[in-house]
Amino acid sequence: MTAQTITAAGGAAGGAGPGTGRAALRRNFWRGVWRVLRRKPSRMLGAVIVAGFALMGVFGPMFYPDHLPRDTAALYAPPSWEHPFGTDFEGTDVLALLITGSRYVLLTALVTAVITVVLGAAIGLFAGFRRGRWDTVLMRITDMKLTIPGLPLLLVLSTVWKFTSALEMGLVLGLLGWGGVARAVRSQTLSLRERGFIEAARGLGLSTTHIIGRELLPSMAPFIAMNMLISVTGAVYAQVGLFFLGVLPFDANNWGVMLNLAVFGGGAMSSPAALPYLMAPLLAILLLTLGIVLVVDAMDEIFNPRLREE
Amino acid sequence: MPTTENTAARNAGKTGNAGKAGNTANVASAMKAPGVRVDGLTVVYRTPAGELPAVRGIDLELPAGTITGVVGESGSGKSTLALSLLNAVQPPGRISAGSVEIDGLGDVVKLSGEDLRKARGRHIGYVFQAAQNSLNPLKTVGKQLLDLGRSHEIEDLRGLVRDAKDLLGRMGMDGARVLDSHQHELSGGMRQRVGIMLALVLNAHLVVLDEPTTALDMITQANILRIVREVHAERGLTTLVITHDLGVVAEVADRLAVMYGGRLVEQGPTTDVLSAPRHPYTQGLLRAIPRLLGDIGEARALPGRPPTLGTVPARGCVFRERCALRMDVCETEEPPVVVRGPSITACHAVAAADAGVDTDTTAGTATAGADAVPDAAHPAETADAPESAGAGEPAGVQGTRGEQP
Amino acid sequence: MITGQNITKTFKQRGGVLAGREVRALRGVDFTIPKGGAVSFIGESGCGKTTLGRIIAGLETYDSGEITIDGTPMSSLRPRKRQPHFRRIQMIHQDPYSALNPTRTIHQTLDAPLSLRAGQTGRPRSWVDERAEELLALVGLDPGYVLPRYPHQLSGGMRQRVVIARALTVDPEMLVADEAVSMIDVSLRLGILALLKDLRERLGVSVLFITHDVATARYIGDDGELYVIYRGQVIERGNVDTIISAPVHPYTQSLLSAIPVLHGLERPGEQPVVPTEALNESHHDAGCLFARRCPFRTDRCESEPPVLGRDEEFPQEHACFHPRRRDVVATPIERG
Repeated sequence: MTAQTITAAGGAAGGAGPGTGRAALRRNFWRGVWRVLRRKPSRMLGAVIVAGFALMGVFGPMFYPDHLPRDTAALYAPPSWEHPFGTDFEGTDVLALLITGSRYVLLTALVTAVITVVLGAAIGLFAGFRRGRWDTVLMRITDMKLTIPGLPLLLVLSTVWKFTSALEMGLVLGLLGWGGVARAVRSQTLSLRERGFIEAARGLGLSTTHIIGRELLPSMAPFIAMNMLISVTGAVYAQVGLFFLGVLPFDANNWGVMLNLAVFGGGAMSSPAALPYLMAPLLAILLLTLGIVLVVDAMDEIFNPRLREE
Repeated sequence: MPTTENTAARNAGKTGNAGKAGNTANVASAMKAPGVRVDGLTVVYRTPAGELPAVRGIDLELPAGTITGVVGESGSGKSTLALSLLNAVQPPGRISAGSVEIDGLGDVVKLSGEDLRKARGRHIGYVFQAAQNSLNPLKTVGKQLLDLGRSHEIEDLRGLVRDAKDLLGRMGMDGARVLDSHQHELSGGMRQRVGIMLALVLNAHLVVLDEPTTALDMITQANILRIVREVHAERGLTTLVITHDLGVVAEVADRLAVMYGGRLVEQGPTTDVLSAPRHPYTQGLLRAIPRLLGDIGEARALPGRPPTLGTVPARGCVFRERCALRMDVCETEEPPVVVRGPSITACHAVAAADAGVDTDTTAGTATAGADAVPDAAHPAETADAPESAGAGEPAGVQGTRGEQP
Repeated sequence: MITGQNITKTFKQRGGVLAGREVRALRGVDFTIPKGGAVSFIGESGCGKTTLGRIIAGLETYDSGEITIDGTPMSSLRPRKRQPHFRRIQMIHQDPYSALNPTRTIHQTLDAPLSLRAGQTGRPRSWVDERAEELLALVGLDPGYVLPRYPHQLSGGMRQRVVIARALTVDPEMLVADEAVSMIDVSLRLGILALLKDLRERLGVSVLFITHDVATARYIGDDGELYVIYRGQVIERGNVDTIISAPVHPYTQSLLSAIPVLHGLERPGEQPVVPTEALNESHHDAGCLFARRCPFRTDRCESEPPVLGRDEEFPQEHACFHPRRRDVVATPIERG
């Protein structure tokens, strides 16, 4: 089906114009993304940072053994060429801890973001498009969910569940986080469904799946993408916070654990020796947040064909 | 100052002569009507493709005490021109060249800060496009009126409210009730009246109305236009109406200026331009307007489409792509300004036609305009001249439209 | 052929100060739109003309009355079964900017309904693309230029043509054009009007034209019918040119009097009718609905509601106790 579209319509478009087929559209899309990113250096920087973290999460831990070497001669060593962020209380390289710990943190964040957005968008779209009874019921549930305070619930949950896997952690955070997205997507849907093109699509007898998937969703793409990126940072804060508070066991290597040990074990707040140990994960979180904030700025232009092409 | 008063006084007499203002009180207030001279005005917008002119080389005179209508389609730069009168072009746009001289105020382009803010409202009243929706929905009209008064340091707020009630009453509304109302309690026509009241209540004598009747019904539109005309005469104003609708201009304006692609292509007394348009664009536009009676087959859409900021040709005539009279020279040369009587046209074809008949035609480039408006003696009648009622008189004396056959 | 009998519709205000207040949008309207015919609804905003258009296009429900599409009364069908009938009536919206999805190319926009149709009728995939090009050519666009583009890359006039092409994908019986040219540049309006007229002539599509601008209604065809609607009621009905040149209802006359005169080209009518503007919104519903604004009202008008009907004197139907021809329309000045 796709192939035919390309040949027939591409021919009609002629050589000069952009092709009409799906593949050509996709190619144009990525070309547009590149153009949008290039428009501001800050966006490029953001993209580089985010890509860097992704690479770090995927490949970073591969460069280190399961059990990181300890150098008992250098406990809380100051930063040096060998240990850029110094070492911890056991003499383990802080950079190595940071990198091996990133996978859990980033994977959790990704899972959370995906669940938040998929669930939130689906519920919001459905409620907003169907309106009526479905809307009332779903929004009551959302409201109820929004009133549950996240942190205390997580504390309670962590007494029964140990969150050893990043997937579990992400699942819990995601299930806790979709309420806001659902509300926002619903209100967007309500305003979009009054637009002429949605009414026209219904008048032409197009299916609900088509209307929601092809007409509504793309119009909300920048909004959804932004929410996804922002919930990544939210998830990082949430889990690092949990580990920092020490409510979760320390068997996973994690930035939160590092913070906890630096503050409560190393006395980073009072002695300068553990300071690099404290600063390293904080810097990582800061940098990741910065990267995401810089990239979010480009979302509107990426998903709006008008802003993308200009 | 003395010059200003002279002009105004002269003009008051003219307005009276023209039969528009009926009594002496009106003539007295007409003394304040300022004249406006726009000279070589260029406004550029910053875009990824560089700075592009939305309005280029506009020369336009608003003679004191007249109503001038500027007509143009989307992208013609008419709203930008209106904003320039207030020096209120917002970034990414800026006035890059030219001046806007207003009697008693000087060159508005040079004003800034407090002076500019005070000039807006006190000297220049502006009724915004979609004034129907420009009121604050949370405040009553009266509160907004008081806010306006305070921000202009009006001492006598009671007097201001009295003036506002008078104005609203003049426009057929119950002033006290309207001042107590919120925006949503007023109909579109009422909001538009409130917009006009707010523009006039600080005693501005230059009023700019940007699309005063868009989104209004026919009957409401007719009433608003009547009010604009009457209030103009009674308070002695200089009025500029910006619109896409030739009918609106035809109803109210003494003089008509046609904009296309950021340029002024034709201007002159309204009846002259309508009865004998010279520029091919004006001709095409008139032919494209559906009329109630007459041969339906005569109406024709203009081929092509109006240019946008990015597609306006940088050189030559901006209309050439849709023009039936297009010549080679239109591609490269700026159209010459052809002056005939009180009318001015910027077109190569018109210039060529005139050159064949009339050697006296002024064919300057670009800078003819305000000061090039011919004096009474200009002998511009040619064989095919329109039988224009006002030809030979200075523009300011043009009688009200619709009063001469 | 599409007919309606005694259609009524009442809106209830939801939020705000006016909550609970009822607005009677339509007070029993009859209409007949013959196959291949042209009908125009004119009136001020809020008169119910748009609501009626939306009801006819199946986008709005009505409280009572009957709509019959090609002989099938809609009340005899369950809501789901009505859809295919209403699909034959396509709406052309006022605003071509919001009527096209900004994130989809014109090709995608036309592809969806055509694919659906191809699936239903068992036509091959290639038909979809051929048909898309055919339709764009039909509405006067260059398919090669338009197909790969996004709506924002087209002008208002081109967009409206695409909207019309999209409506034609389902082979409609009727197009409902709701103020379809009011947002188009003046120099391009006539092109769209001519296109609608052309589609009527070539495809036999009937056109329902909803507008506040009477002059545009003429351009649909001289055999067109005009319905003048005031506060949810038809108050004058007849041939377009008959009503424009010789209106008998004072409301129609005031609408026509309000049209700006192109002084220099036209001479204003001799007897313009200027109604008092409805500045206070306290409507009263007894007698003639227009009575309060009518310069010619009598006691009878205040108490007794006039009914739309025909008398021997005038060719058109009207709902007025004191119908009289008045010369309200501007006439072109003969030049020679």
